Amino acid sequence: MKTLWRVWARVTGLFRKNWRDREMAQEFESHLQMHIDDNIQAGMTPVQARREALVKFGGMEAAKESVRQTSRLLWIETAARDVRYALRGLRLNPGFATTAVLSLTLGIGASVAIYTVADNLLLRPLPYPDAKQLVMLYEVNQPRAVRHNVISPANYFDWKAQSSAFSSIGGFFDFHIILGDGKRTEEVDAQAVSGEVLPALRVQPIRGRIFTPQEDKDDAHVAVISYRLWQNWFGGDDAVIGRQLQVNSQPCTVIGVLPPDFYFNTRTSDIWLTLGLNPSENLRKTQGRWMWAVARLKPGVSLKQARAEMTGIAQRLEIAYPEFNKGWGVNVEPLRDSFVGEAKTSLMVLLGAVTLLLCVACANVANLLLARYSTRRREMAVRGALGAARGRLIRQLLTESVILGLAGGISGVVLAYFAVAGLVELAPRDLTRSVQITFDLRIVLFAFLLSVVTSIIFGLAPSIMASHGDLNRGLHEESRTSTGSGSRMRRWLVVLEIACSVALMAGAGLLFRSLVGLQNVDPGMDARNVLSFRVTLPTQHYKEPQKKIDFFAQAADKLSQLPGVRSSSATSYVPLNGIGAATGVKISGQPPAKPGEEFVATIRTVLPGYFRTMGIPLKRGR
Amino acid sequence: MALMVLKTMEAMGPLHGYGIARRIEQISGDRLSLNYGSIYPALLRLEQERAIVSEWGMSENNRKAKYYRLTAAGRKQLKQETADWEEASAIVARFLAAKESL
Repeated sequence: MKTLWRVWARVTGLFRKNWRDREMAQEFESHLQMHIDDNIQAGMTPVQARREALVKFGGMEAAKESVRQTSRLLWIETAARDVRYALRGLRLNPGFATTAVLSLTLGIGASVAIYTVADNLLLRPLPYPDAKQLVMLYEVNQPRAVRHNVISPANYFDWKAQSSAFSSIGGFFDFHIILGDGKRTEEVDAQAVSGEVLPALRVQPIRGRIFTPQEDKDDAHVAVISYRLWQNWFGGDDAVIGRQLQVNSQPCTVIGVLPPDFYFNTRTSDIWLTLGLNPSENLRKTQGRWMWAVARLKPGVSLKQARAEMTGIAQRLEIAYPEFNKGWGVNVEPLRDSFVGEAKTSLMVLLGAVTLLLCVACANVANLLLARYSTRRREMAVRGALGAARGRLIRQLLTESVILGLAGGISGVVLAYFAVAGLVELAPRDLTRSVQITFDLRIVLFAFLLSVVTSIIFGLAPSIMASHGDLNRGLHEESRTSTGSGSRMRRWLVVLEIACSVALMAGAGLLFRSLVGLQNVDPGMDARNVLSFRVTLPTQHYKEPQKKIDFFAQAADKLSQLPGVRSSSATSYVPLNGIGAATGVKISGQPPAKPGEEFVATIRTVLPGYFRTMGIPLKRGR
Repeated sequence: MALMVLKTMEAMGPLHGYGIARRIEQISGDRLSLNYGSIYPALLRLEQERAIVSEWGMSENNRKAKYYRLTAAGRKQLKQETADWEEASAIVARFLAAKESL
């Protein structure tokens, strides 16, 4: 308590320094006067009396200084003075200051940007309770080395029946629907989920409820909608529960609303519908592989155990249904890895690269500081001779580097903010679709720590070096030449800098080469001036295939008549967009291919004019 | 020093810095000769600790002077420090006595 009061008095004292000094002078003056009065009464001459009083008082200035010392928060004031001094020094040397701050901005900005992405993708927990237990189940095509294949509903039901490692397994897939509420009709992103998916993610609806298993089995016409859709279409009205919507022209009742930040697999889903699979059908006969599966591990079951069990099940299924399952296995992968995918490796590479960049920046600034300090040795020597403690000198120089570091840090954060936005633009679309990337206080804190730590790293050695050594020599020598140890250190810094730079350049060069390589790959078509868009037809109205074909044929025909359109066509899947339908192909007249070497062809249903529109040259035939 | 200052103020009531210094010297029977100036940092520290408070007033012979007065917290502190000091000196005394009896 006592100490607290003292600190408080000192803090408030900071703001009343002049007043305090005046008051002290007055008090001392009155003290002397009283003493002189007493002395005169005791029979001294006024001159004698004054002298005696002064002698008795002791050193007036020393007493004042001692009172001042007591009344101030020493370190705050010296720190403030150091800061002022450092700022003045930097202003006098704008070239140095700009160069140093720019290098740091670059180093810190790049690190913070990459760290932000890494933090969001790799470190932050996914927004589900106990997200570590969540895994994705893929089918694996061993001969074709496809590790993330869609799965067959038949296998899915067998997994559910035979496995014991999971508390639940659910199936889902993403698609688009035409949604109407009587007034407006729009295409929205939807997710069909089995009854297990939402409970496995442990999401609590903020209004209404989620599907029951029975509703899933019956493929009941019920829907759970996103918070976004609830706000945009229904203005957050509670009466939305029980409302009828048109999903692909079929009536559908809203039974629940999910919380605002909920997403799964894709962030654009606005409506969740039942998957409605019937396990009693022979799905191996009627359906191929087309859906995804997510599962929650039972508490205490490790990923390894689950993998072992699923591998066993897959082997049994392979034997039981050789026709359908030959060469197919199962891949159990943590949900985060599925969301982040291949980006993990590239992020690690990038993290390494920005760390190197930061090292280069640090070495660069340290070098600049050393050069600067070697011209300031004389100043240091003079201050040392006047009684400045060495610690005090180091502190002052460090203050300067911390100021540089913070300036670099602040502009670095600004740079990083824009860089992150750019990175998100550049990132593969399916990456940012499944994970959100935000810039928040944590990152700012990280940047702050990073800049302080870096500034101490690059500032400490030079300041020790600068405050070091023989005062006498510092005073006499026209210290343009740096001392032996100083130049040795600078040589090492240059070596470090060049080493980092070479590593960086090599890495960047390699990346650039593969980029150029990618751009030079001939996709076999001419995509210039080709526009594309997607149309979903309500299945209710367009049941027969012929009707669909008619629609697209007409649409393409009308489109080609638009001014400025040279040709138009339609296809089931746009090329190079990551997703498509495929099947095995056998060429008649050739011996059946050896296992593992079967041909696979991508199927794209097209309308006449497709090849012309896409600029794909025909090699032979028509 | 703090102890002496507090004790003096307890005995004399509100007093200015000069008076306190004078008084301490007198009580020590002039055996303790101190620089009067050194009383002020001690006074300031006590004030910061809220053991004493100060205000300007008039001295006996009509001079403006800053008077220091003991607070309740100061009295408590005085009691505590007196006890501490007595204990410490008792220990030293016993220590010295023991040495003599060796």
